[in-house]
Amino acid sequence: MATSKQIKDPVKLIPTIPPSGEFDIANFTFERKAVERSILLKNMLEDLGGTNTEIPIPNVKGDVLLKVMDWCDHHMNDPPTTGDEDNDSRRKTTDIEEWDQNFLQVDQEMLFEIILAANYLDIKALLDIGCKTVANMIKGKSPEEIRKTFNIQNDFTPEEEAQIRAENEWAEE
Amino acid sequence: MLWELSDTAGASSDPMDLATPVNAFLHAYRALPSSDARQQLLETLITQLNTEDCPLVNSLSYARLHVDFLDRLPTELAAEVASYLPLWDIFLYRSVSKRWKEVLSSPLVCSRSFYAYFYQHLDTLDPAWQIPFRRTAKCRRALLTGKPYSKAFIPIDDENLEIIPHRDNNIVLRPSMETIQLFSLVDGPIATFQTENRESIDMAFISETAVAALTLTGYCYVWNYKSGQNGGFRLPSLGPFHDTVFLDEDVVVLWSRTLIIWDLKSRQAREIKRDFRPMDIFLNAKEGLLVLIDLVDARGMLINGHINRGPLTESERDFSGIVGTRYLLQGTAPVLFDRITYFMAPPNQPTLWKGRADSYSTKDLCIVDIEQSTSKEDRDPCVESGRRRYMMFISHPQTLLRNPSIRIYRDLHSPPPFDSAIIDVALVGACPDVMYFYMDTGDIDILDYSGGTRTRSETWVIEQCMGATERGTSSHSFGDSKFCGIRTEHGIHIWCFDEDIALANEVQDYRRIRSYTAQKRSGIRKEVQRVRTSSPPNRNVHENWEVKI
Repeated sequence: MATSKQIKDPVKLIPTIPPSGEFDIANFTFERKAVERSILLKNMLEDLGGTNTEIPIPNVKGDVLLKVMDWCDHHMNDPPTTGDEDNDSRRKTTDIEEWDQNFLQVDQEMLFEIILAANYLDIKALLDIGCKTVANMIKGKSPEEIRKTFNIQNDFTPEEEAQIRAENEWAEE
Repeated sequence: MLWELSDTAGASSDPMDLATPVNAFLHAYRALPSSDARQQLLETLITQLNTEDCPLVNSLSYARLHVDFLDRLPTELAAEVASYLPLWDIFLYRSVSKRWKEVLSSPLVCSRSFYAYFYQHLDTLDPAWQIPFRRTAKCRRALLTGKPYSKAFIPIDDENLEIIPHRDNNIVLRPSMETIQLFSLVDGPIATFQTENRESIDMAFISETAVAALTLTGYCYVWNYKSGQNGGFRLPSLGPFHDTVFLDEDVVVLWSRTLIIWDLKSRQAREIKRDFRPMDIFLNAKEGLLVLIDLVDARGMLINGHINRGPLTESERDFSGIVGTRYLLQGTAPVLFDRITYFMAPPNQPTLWKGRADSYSTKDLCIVDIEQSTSKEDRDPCVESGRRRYMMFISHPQTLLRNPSIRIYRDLHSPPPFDSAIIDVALVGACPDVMYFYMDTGDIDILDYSGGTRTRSETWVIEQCMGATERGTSSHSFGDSKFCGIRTEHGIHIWCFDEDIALANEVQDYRRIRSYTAQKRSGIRKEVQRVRTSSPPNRNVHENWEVKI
């Protein structure tokens, strides 16, 4: 946890959606370098200038924010991502490094919240591994297995389903 | 310190409400020393719940464990997830639910996931975007399964006749040393060209609008068969020009100790000074765009990419990356636009071995074969004497605004003795992950890089039985996303993977099946029923490859 470490350059994040249950606000102080993994917060810190180190965070629940900052803390020394997002040259592998894999061993609701938070806070690398994790959950499963995994009602009539299969048969291998 | 912000957030107005026992419970729960103890507490709690509470607990925890991501995520994030899925499985997942069908059929998902396939013509703002999308997807399926929709055979009597390059629907034939013939795969012969002084032609090239020929006497002639214009220029020095001439529309780019650009409209030669030829060239005359593709060393300096078959010195042996230098061709001199790094090995990784780096190119696609050293323990069957091979597919977009799409796949070449059996490589273009290898056994191997499979086409086995004497005599083959052609001593076999194209000289059985499926598609079911009962399609052909609709 962030509190157990010596924080050299602290930034306090204040989630405006209170987490369910009891939380220690002291846990919401983080190393500036970790906070700056979020492009949104990095820009805000720049706009606020050097003195103000408290940032209110709407839209992200406290417990999700803690989890996200856990990731930022571990990755704070990673080289910054380039702005070349549209460039498809990054290899489209679905490999996820081991630490990140363990980090995302969470229930689906938490994974969902992490993806939304990473998108809102603009943390590209976390968004990428979140989306890859979901893709890995879908991969290799039959439509029926997918429905089970994500609790999806099959709202097609048997005729409709047969038609969709026939329509897309040409693409299946 | 307890949570002190709940008041400011306005979520809880009365501090004396339920929050206090909830907090007290949570506090006690978290204070328990082990997960066993926490589990015990929950078990006790569950037994205290009444029958109405139990389903609630059940559905609450179920909801936490099962989230319909594609439904709940905003479409742009769903598209992000879909972009990591095996490309063609997206069609399979459309049958999960109505919402999944909607998301996975949306322009955003399709344009993002299939970007590399439709880099030049999939415009999802156009309401009719699904038509080219479907057509290309069907084409790819036919390529992948090795089941073409149509086949043609052009018998050739003259054994000296050569087929040369191919572009779109056209190929060039050379019936004699002085003449070249433009032949459309769809319409048959179009035109014949002859050099002014009946000079012998060394090589010929083709674009959508023009044909170019290099003569043995050192001239380059260009004929525009659309406008009827023609012209030529003297080459600065004699070749060899093998693999160094590129033609698009009326623009010729060739390397002869320096890079020369000549076009029929201005009849002016322009020059880009460089000491060695680039590994490959992408030329788009309409946009006035020229991209030179080169190898670089670890410092990013260009190195000679030309693969000499002779011995290489130490410094020539390795490279670290591949870059493209883009030039604009409008105006009197080429203007350097920018440089793109396609690929760069990380500094801590071994450099790549140039001895095997090679490129094959079609109109918009450059495929580079690269090799990297690997550890001795690597038991991968594709690792050959400590080197693992990769294929890099660079799809060049037609505009400067987009960067090329690059995909790197593990190579599916097999180790020797398989390798030595390859005599010609037929390329498949707009589906940038499928490649055909023509083997000297007369078979064609289909390499699907995204699926990681190598299969042998059944169709070609049939063809081989039809003409067993033709094995291994070919010296020419061509191919792209729609066509694949092989020349044997008796003529040219052409296969077409686009069901909407009717080939000239089409083989009867194929024509029958194709028109049968076309009728079926247009919904004339009754009519087809009648035709089927009265005249069933040829059994031999039909058994071996069914045509999917």
